[in-house]
Amino acid sequence: MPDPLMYALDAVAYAGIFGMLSLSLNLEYGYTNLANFGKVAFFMVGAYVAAVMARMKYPFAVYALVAALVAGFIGLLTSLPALRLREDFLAITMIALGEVMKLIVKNEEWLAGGVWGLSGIPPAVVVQGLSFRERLLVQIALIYGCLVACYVVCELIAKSPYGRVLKTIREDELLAAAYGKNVFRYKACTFALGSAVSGLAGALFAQYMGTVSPYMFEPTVTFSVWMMVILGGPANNTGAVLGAFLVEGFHRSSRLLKDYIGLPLDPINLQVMLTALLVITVVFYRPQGLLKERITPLDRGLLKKLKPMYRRVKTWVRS
Amino acid sequence: MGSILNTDNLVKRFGGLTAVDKVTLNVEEESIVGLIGPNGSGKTTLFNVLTGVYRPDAGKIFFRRERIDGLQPHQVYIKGLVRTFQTPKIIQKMTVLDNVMLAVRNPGESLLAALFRRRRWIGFESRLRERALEILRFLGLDKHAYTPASELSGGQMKLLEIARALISEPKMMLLDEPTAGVNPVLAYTIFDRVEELRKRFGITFFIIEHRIELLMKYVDKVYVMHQGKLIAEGGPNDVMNNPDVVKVYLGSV
Repeated sequence: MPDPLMYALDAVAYAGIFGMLSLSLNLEYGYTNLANFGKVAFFMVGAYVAAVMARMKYPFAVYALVAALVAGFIGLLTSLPALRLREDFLAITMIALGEVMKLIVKNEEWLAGGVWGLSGIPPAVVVQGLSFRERLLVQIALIYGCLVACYVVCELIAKSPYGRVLKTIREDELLAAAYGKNVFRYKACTFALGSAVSGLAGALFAQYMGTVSPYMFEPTVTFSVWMMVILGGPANNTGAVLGAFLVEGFHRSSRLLKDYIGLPLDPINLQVMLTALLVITVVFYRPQGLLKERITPLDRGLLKKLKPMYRRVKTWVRS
Repeated sequence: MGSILNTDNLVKRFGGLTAVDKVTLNVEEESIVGLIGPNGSGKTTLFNVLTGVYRPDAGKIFFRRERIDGLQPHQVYIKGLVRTFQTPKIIQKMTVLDNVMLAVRNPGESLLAALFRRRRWIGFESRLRERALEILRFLGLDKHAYTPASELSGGQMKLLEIARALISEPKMMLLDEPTAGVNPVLAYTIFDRVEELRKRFGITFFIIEHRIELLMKYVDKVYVMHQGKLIAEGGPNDVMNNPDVVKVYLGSV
């Protein structure tokens, strides 16, 4: 029987990493209606870039940045042909991309260890003399620092004229084009940014796990992230993070279930069934997700809230 | 006054169907020109070709003496040629105000400015808001500025479309059935506003309309389209007495 607290802390760390993926998909799907079903590909690219660089003893800040940039760049490259496709075809293409990337990593052994993956990745922050549990808390602090940064970026985008253009594109591409927006450029830009955030999540994941292998990057990762966004509420950043917590919590608790109740059927199957049931229930009874998209003018959103806060901090620093 | 928009033998085909067939037209600056014709005669397709939604198969389009055929819709918009849509394209999940403001090119629409150089666009945004409110007041929508656009009536949505087209200070507006589904009183109000805008700001209008009696009270010139071709042009009286036009609308007698 594992230490329940450790199990919970591990779940919290996972939820933080997946929260970033969920935020990035929300940016692409929730705000821009880009059905990116290849999320795992960019997550994997980030993780592998980070793994290789961390083993070469680069500091976290450097490899996290490079991982984000490489994933973002690959996102941009894929978007150039893929974004010309209609929504459903884009989804299919992106699923294929995720699989292809995984197969490349699996089969090209010289590149990143092939099926064996890479292990011995040092954690980002090494403090001597900490217990295992304390090291886990340091990890959680790092992951949540990055999550908050991503959340702020996504909120700033959502509450800016840029975000307004994204929503326009989501609702009606022809309208956006007829009113002077270069739709393709906005889509490509958003796709690249979403991929970069996924790459950063991948870098955190690699150093947290200490090892990466192709088997960690199955399409189910993508589907989990989709579930998070759909449950939490598309076009609501708080909802995206909430969805990540719910889905991760649901996964973990249904896995624990098998230790406490005797079931006539395989608990793994039960978990899949319950997950499906959860998604169907939410889509049926609350299609807009748990947290609805808010219709607020820009000036009444984050900006109004942040400005007095900023002033207070400023006077406080001076005094 | 010179011409602001003219086309030369414009053709658009869809498979075997020629939706726009050798259309040559000329719109004078600061005029109000109507475009009428039975359903399916190619009026909206012509608008789509003019604004770059479809690429013409042949022919040229000049806007203020500049070729604009082959340009993308957003490039046409930047030249000052703005259109509205037959079924209002209103973003339901935005306020009425944001629906208007989205039409303007804004320094905050670049990703970097949205994240880092917020000072640059926050001032612009608040000036833009004032202008948007002024336009909404002009069209009688200012009471609804902060309500979600989904709560507007059909007629108000038509007005919102016009407000959105106006805010970018266009040189010319293409209105696709601005009074479809609008009650008669509001329909007159819409055309009164059009007239006023032409006088005050010198905007040229090219209007598709099915309410012919209404249209005829305001236009300087009318084009009649039938099966992709322009079959008549001229002042309201000339066109209405043209036997071809009567035939198209009422069938052969």
